[in-house]
Amino acid sequence: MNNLNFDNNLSKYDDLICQITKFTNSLGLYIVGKIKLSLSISSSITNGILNNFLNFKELGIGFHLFNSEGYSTFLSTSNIDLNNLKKMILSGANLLKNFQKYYNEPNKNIFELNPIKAKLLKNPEFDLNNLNSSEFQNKFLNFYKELPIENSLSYNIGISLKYNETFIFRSDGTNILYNDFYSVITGDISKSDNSKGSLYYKVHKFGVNVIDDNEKLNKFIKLTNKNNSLVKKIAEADMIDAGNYNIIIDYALAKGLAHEAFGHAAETDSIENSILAKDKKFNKGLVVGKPYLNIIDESFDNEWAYSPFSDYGGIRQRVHIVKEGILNCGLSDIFSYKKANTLLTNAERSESYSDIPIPRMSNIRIELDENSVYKDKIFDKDFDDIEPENVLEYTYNNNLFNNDKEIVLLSGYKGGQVDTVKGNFVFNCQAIYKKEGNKIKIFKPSIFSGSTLKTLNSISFGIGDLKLDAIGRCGKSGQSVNSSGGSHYYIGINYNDQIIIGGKKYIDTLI
Amino acid sequence: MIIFENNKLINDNFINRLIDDNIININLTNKKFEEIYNILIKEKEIKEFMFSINNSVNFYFGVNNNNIGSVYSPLSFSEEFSGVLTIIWNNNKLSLVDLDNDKILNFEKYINFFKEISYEEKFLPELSKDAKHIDFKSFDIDLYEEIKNNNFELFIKSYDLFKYFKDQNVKFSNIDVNYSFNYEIFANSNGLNFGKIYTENSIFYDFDSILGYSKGKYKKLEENDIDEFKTYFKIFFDKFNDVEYKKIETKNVILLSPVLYSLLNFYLGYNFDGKNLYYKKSFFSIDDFENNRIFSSKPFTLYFDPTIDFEFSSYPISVEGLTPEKTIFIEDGKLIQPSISLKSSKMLNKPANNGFGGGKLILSPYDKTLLSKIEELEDCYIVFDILGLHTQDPISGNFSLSVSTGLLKEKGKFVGLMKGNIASNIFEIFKSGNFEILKNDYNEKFSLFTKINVVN
Repeated sequence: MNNLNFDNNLSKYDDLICQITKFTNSLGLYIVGKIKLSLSISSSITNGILNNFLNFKELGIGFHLFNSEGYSTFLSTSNIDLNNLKKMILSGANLLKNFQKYYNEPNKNIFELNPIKAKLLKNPEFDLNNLNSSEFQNKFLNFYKELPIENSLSYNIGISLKYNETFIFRSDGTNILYNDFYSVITGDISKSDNSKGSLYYKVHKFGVNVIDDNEKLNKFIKLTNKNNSLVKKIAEADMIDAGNYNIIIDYALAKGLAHEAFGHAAETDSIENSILAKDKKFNKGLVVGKPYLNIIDESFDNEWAYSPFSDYGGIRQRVHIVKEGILNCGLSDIFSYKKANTLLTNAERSESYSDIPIPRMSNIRIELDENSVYKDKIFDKDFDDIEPENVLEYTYNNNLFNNDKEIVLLSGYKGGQVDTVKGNFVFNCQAIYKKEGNKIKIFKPSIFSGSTLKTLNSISFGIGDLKLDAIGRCGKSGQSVNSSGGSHYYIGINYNDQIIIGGKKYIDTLI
Repeated sequence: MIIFENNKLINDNFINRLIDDNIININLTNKKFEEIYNILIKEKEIKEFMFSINNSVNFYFGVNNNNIGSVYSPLSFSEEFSGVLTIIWNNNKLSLVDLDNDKILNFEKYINFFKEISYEEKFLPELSKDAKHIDFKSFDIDLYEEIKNNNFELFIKSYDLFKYFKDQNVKFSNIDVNYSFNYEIFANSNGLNFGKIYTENSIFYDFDSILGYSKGKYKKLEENDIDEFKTYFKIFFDKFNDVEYKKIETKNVILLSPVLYSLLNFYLGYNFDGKNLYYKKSFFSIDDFENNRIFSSKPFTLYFDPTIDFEFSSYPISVEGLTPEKTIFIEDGKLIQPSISLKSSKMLNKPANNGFGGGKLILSPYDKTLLSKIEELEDCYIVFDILGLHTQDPISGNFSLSVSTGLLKEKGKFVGLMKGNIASNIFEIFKSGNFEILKNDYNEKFSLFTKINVVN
């Protein structure tokens, strides 16, 4: 694919940024912002037919202007032209002057920062500039032919390659340039005859075109085979009785629990009304779990949610949110850390150039003290090779919950949502396993909902090694960014009346 | 308001004034349109094409947890050039392109790229030959003047609303106020081309992260629109007492319009989709529609109308270049037609339509008004908001959702907010006739009463 002119090196804007910074300084304004470039190629095949081949490019600039009193305005445009930007800045300054009388909390924290200069450009193993689209489409179609397709099922297989580049700048001379890139292959299997159901799964890799990576493709084939069987079982399965149970969740669901139930409540942009606040401040020292519980957010190199720098130009910190069961540190940015009374951790991210950065997670995990983790030989293998039924049997055989309540095992993460004000969360799984008599029965997925603090306090054990490659997208404030994380292979959550598995439907007739 | 037709800008004093005001660059948009059109029409390898480009400016002002104009919601100004392009090549390959600023301004250098990213589409769509655009009202001179003069009255009204609700004991307010002005120009290879201008005004208010309400139009929001927020608040908010946990015994559930519309869009939007019917990924089969099978044992009609003046859901031509018109999907409880795109039209050999969700949703007839139903019921659970819909399996119709804001009424009295989980199957609810359509008393939307399982 030639003549793309993707301009995938934003350092060419160095001079323009220099001039814009000088211009805003001359107006007595402070500027902090970013230029973002996002490129992607994606395609999907449904039941063997190529559905589409899409390319996407977004390039633009977005920035805050602060006056000396700490009042700000945010401007963004896809037209990165010096004259246009100067015109916008003058309009923005004028608007700010007219409307700042309505503002009630100016914020001068940005003026405290020291400048940073950094360049972290890695070479991706794929080049969207020179991708041959016909070759790519043929490879994708040929790969589809290798999948274990069953006639009674419908398949939608997707592939996406993405390249992002971010250039962050500030009035103080801060100049940061970095990139990230990844590819992902996704599967969606549906059954729609007499019994209905569907399953979604994915395999991803940072820096590599997954269609050229045999190891990843073989893993996808293996997962497709496994899910062919699972989707048929789920479609024919009953719904579980709604209620309270001892619960085992896999590491992907544990990532969901850490992310939805807890991580969002620890983000300091809305800490005033979070369940983790006391007197509108981050409630450091609050006991939220047993002494073996740790929750950590950390950006890893070459990982799905890689974000080495924050969007206001800080180095992202590893954050030990919960340390030995006690609330320790929030996910903060320069504008909210003081108000929240927590450390500055540079956790802000944004999806697009036109979005305002907000504190959010990267890779978040639940990590238990090793004395609370069972590492039997049967778990000494790849996660995908361990059958959920065996984990449930193991839990019963070793009486891990130490009570006589029923146990359910939830497997596969299908997304979740949180209400950080009331402390409620929900997430959904792919399948539920439960022992009935001497047999382990599979049930349709049901929503898993609960109270954040009660749930954390009920985490009682882990099974297996840490596994942190559960991936997803987080949609906070309408901005979708990559998120990831995990835990030990499985986590046990003790019976609690505030944790509910939603269940059987009820149909009645009106009287 | 159409300002460009048949490759020409309408010569009119008012339009000339809009151009001189230069809030958005109408001349540049027209110039780029002309360049793009001429390149595409002259390109010998192109069989058919369709494109639109949009030049927009947006002004925003907000409140974030009582912080007016915080760094997370300050006065903001954004501008954007964007568009979409579909090309069908002589070799019957298809290119689907998002046009960004660079591709619009430097179109010529990308023409080879557009060819390069084409693919062989088994169900190659045929662009409509006889489509016509409509001209619903989408421009309000008063709103335009506010934008032009940076005299954003709704920003100030939202500030007054914030103070009003603070006095009503709202602890935390979150508000988003938007103004925008757009110029969109559309063309296809069959000679249809037109440019239309839009003014937009909208406000969203979130009360204590418990109750939310929004309003938006292609015209200036007036006092009566703002009063709607106060009415909605008065009806419900003072009943939101914090109470001790209480088991919910009732199965009388009212799904308010935000919840009902989300459920309909999620389950019907997916299962009525012609592509999903073709690939047998739907709860329904194409036979169900062809034979007008019963969807609901209680007759009602569901349709979308994209032609209403000043409505955000109206449009002058569909994204696929089809004439906007009222589209009925369920009539008297029977399945009428699925949602058929140009592509699924080829798959199913049926005419394309404007698709599920194309326009304002109308449910007819309604059984009662919302407030009369709430009054009538001794016990009920009113669902304002749900968590987890996106995690559900659309093909089965099953749902198992957490209610993040639910108001419990027992023995004729409002108890207060109570957490709960609701579980049912959307298709079985309709099939059983176990529902009543309720018309909202405070706006033009609909809610639904049904009986379902609540667990808490």
